[in-house]
Amino acid sequence: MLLASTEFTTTALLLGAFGALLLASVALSRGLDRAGVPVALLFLALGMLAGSEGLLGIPFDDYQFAFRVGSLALILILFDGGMNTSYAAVRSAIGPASVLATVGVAITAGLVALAGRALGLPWTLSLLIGAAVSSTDAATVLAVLRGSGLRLRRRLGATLELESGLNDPMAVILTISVTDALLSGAGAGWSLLYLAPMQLLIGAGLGAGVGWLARRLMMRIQLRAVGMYPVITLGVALLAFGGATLLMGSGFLAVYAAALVIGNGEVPYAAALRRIHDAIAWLCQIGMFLMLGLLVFPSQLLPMLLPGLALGFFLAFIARPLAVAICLAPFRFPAKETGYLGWVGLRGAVPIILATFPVLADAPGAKGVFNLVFFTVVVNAIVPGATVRWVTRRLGLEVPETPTPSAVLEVASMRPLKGDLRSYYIDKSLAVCGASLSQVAFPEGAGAALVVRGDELVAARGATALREGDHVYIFCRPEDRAFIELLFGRPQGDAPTPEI
Amino acid sequence: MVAAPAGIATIADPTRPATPKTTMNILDIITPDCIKAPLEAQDKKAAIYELVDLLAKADKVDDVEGLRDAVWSREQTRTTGIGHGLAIPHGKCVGIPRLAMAIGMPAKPMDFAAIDGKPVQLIILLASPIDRTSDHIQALARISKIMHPEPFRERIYAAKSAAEIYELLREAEKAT
Repeated sequence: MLLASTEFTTTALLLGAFGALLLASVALSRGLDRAGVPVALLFLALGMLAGSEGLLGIPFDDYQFAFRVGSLALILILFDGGMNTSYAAVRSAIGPASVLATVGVAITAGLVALAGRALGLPWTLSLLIGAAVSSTDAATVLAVLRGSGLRLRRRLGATLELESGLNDPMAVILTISVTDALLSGAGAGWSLLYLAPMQLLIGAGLGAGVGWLARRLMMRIQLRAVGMYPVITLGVALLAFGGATLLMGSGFLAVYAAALVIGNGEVPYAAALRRIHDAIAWLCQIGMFLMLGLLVFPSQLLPMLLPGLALGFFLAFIARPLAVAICLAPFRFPAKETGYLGWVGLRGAVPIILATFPVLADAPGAKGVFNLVFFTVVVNAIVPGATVRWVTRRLGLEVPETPTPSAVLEVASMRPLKGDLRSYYIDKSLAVCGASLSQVAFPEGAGAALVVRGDELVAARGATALREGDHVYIFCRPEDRAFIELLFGRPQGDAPTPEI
Repeated sequence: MVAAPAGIATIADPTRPATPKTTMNILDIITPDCIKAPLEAQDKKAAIYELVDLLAKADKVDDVEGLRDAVWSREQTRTTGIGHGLAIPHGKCVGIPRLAMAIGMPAKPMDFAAIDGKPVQLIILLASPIDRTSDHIQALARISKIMHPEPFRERIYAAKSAAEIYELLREAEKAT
């Protein structure tokens, strides 16, 4: 009885503390957002404050738990990223993003390893650090930009986003190979040259296949309980990861590919699914960084101060920019875009989670690597991270973002409907700006559903005139979409037209 | 847990303004001297500027810079490359006395960032006075309608000269 009540109290305390940390993270994130600093740093700091050497003194040093929960969080964050990436964005950026995600990762890892060696670390540990910090995290950059109402030019944003969706697998492959080499005492070997492409191919193929089957399944079965649909997509994410990993493929790439296929096709309750996965991704993002913060002992970080700073700066100022310049040379990016991509390749949670892997494998010197990687990521998030907004504006790489309507109208359906309802921002350059709805030559079967004017909802009647700054909801069939966009411009939420 | 109906529509009955009957005839706004085939321009922006210059040469624009800015601003909100090889850039500006149109055929299919990702084979630029919104919309609808049938598009894309393009448009207007 005593044991049961103690367990109950401990669980309640832990869950209560976790809840309070989540709330604090969300409440404080807005302030950091305004300052233009990646919010991930806040979650990490809160985790450290709550940890065994912090205010709450929560003891946590379970690397295995951290690795598993971290992997789960990454899967769900990647899945959300894939669901929100359009095929058009993939098409526009697949070339440069693929090279950055493979060759770029290898170059970055190699250069950081050289720097580690120059600092006096053994080759194997240097390679391990290089491999762990080699992948980028677009979510960190894009969150900073979103916080400032900025949107990157289409190909630039798509390259950054797609690269970070594709480069985790390469970093995972490198880290596992180097860890294995560390344990066996043998070199990483040339097998990487064929293992890496093979794993990527299996991951992409299997993920796309799982995604395609899942989409067909969701269209076929008609579930009465709407809440079951996100259960399917969550299951797909986990299955794609597990299946591909067991079949010697890249699990993370499989997750991303499955989500791409689902997100770009018709699925029931698509808008609601996106919102649910967005919420899950945020929860994972906050939870994962809090946990990684808990896992760190500040006292152990202090000895890493100098090498950590050195590696962080080397990564930001030399390794990443150089890798990007080499990889993008064949793609004719303007110099300022190449420079920008080189500067804003921020690191996120992936390196820290990857650094737990050698600790779990009991590789010699692994704890030191974990602390050094942690430090490098934090330095990297602060130095280029805090300048992202300023650099974006300074280089003029943002595209104007239309304001979002104060009211959202959407059609939710468990069956695919012929037609959709989208909101359009009335810019003064549009043909329909100043026209009354009765003057608009709507095709048969298309029409305006609602006008949102500031905080006011205006009935869409024939006499209603469209004013600059209005948001108008238009219902139309797929075959009329091109004409509707000719009159009303870009639907809200769609990526801007690529600049050519 | 709530069982879901087959379709939950948060709007019951969208108000649909009746499709207005259009009496627009595009031959009223296009003249043979405002058609150019092939264009000298190699890219989207240069093609738009070349067509604006064509209108200016025909004395249909008072403010060339204003019209360039208006059409380019519209192009930034969303491409007017509406697919199937057709682009209809357009803009409203005070320096246009009356509705005017210029047509250009790129020397080779041109990247216009069209919504279907395909290059553009014909560019129809429409310029309108600020206060002629209704006519502007009707003209866009009329151009889209005329260009809709695939056989007609194929014929006009295969045209070899400005005169041939004008003749094809004349036939199309006559037929409808």
